[in-house]
Amino acid sequence: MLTNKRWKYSLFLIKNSKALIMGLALLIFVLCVTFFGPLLVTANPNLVNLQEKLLPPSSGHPFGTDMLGRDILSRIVYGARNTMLAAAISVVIGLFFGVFLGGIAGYAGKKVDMGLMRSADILLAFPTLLLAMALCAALGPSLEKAALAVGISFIPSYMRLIRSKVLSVKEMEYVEAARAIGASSWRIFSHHVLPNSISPVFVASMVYAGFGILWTTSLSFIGLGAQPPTPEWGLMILQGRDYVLSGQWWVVAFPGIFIAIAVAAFNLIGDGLRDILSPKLRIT
Amino acid sequence: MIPYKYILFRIIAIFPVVVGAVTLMFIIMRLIPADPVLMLIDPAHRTPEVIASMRKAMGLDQPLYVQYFSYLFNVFRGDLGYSWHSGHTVTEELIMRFPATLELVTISLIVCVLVGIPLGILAGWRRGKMADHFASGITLAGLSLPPFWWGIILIILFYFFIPLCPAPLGRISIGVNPPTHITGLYLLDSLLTGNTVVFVDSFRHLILPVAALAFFNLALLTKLQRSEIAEALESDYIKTARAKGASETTVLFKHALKNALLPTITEIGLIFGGLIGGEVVVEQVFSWPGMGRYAVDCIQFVDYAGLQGFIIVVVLTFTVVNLITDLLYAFIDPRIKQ
Repeated sequence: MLTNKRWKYSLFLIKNSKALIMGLALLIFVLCVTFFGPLLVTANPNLVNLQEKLLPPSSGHPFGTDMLGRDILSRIVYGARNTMLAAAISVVIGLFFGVFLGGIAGYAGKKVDMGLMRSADILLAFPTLLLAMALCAALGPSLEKAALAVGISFIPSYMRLIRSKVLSVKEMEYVEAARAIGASSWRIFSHHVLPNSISPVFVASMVYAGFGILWTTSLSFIGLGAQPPTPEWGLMILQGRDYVLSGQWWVVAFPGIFIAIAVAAFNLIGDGLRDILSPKLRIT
Repeated sequence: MIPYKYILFRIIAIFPVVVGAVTLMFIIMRLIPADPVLMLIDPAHRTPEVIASMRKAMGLDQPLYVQYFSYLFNVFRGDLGYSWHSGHTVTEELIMRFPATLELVTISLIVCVLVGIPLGILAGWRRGKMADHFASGITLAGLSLPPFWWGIILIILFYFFIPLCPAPLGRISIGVNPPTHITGLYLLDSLLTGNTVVFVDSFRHLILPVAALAFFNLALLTKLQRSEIAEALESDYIKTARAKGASETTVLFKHALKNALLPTITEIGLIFGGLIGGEVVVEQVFSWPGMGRYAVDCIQFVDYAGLQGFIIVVVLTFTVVNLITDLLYAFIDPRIKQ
């Protein structure tokens, strides 16, 4: 009965958040493109046809063709999978290691905290995109490695976020109670402190997923991420950029619109969740 | 009273961070799976003897720890090493490119502050009203449009379709001589020498890159400022002020703003970091002759000293800006003066 009421209340909150509804709608659209798009778009994304190069949008090619005559719509649809995968990899890496290390720093305190957080400070002294760029160069150019590099550069921010939350949660009475009945440190950390500290991290993850897409496509754009002929949105913009000044705007325009839609979806969901979970919580 | 001890402590604390950053960069560069020696030798001349002598000349035959400590020692003496791919010293390269980057980042920062803060204040003050919705739209667009794509779209719109801005090829038109070198910042130098032609020309070249670079960070600043104001307006001292009959403008300007603008100072440091990162990508789009393009070249040519030098300059600038904003915060906020 109680769970039913809670569920209804959650639904009520979701219904009242325009940002969340809009964000979810956009995300569902992007996910549909990712999973069902390849079933509908039958053109081969890598099929080179030089006789049809740089054709403007038409009924045969709704988004036109690129400099090798490849269908842009088809490349965007197949590229969605790559971009969403990159976003997922970067967030999972940042989330997992950030929560683990930041949680330990906050919970253990003293020297462990000092050591871990000073290391995080060194990483935070780099602008995020630059750190990702350098790491990506070291790991070698590929989309997965670019996503890994972006994920690593997220770790220190996640660490800070979870650490500050853990510091306040570990002073709570229920933690003291658990200690009083003889629970081990690890049990207190994993069963009490971490689960109660994690909600702001999940909200932040939505924003980081958006950043993940922006930074991995940026890395592809400077040649460090996805490599040709992979259909990837950032790389498509890089390849189309030389044709902009001769008037073939569609090669660049459409992939960018899809990046913006995907990032906006995560930003809106993040905003909506933040308003619902805690009106005073802020993510920077 | 000025807390000298605290300031001194903060200045000293910069060193471990910079040394850590240099060390990390040193390791990352050595992990790049390409041999810088081979990048510099023409494939036709790659005999073992040539490779070995080249490796020796570049100091790469030494053990890694020797390379590291001699690099660190040289950095503290102010010598950033030799940029293999360009043939100049790294210091020369960076000095040559720093003004272009500084000009782009500073003007973008000014635009962010002048537009983002008032827009955020307006949105937080008129929460749920038209102004707020407008600001939310701007924020969402700014945070979602990838800056490199947005830059290209601006070029399509304002160079190709409506030719308002000059070709996206550097800081100044071909055929226009740069102003006499004083600071290296073209806007400032042309103003100082009274050269209006160059001033107008370099200003027009700045419009699109600044618009591309500033938008994302402007949106971030608007979002942060909005929530600061909204939070301040919900607090008890505002209720007290209202209960005492203060007008809405007094409440906003005398009470809410005073408190909500304080955290903004530290946020400006954050924005500055975002601008330096974004600048690397935007420079590619506009062929801007700054440090960001040099850094990308260094990665492609596996130029160890070049990229390490760039990172030192960036980390140092970023850390010093953060230090200044923190100190300013502590100086202005009477609660932290202790």
